[in-house]
Amino acid sequence: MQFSDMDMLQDYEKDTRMAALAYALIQTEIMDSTLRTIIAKAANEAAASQKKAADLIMARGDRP
Amino acid sequence: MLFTLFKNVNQNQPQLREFDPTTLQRLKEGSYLVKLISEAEVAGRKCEFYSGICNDQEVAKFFKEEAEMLRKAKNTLQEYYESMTRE
Repeated sequence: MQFSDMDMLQDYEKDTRMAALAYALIQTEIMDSTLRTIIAKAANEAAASQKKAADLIMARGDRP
Repeated sequence: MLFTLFKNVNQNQPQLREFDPTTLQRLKEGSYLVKLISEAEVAGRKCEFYSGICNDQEVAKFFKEEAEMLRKAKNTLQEYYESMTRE
């Protein structure tokens, strides 16, 4: 099976979107304050990656 | 009355130990961390694979950076997990 660059970008954009959601949800179930900070940072980084992937998709004439 | 009956019937059965809420919470946090570590590792490997088969250099660079970032994130989570489980 051959993946095009757009397939890979779309797939990764979906992954980061799901990761941002999951991290934000898990954060609400954590009581340990240090771990909560780490998870919050991960949620932000996932959202930043999602934006980068979405921008690359848009620049190539498709939409996320 | 029923309670006494059940208690007597189960007297010779092995007893379960109940964890206190703090320990339960700690266990839950640990299991979340294990899951997050493995997911970060898999996502990192996926990015590495994608960066190898990309045609566009810009996309390949993006995936390479993401793989590097995921490796760092995995290490941070791993370190925290180890600090949590250390006696």
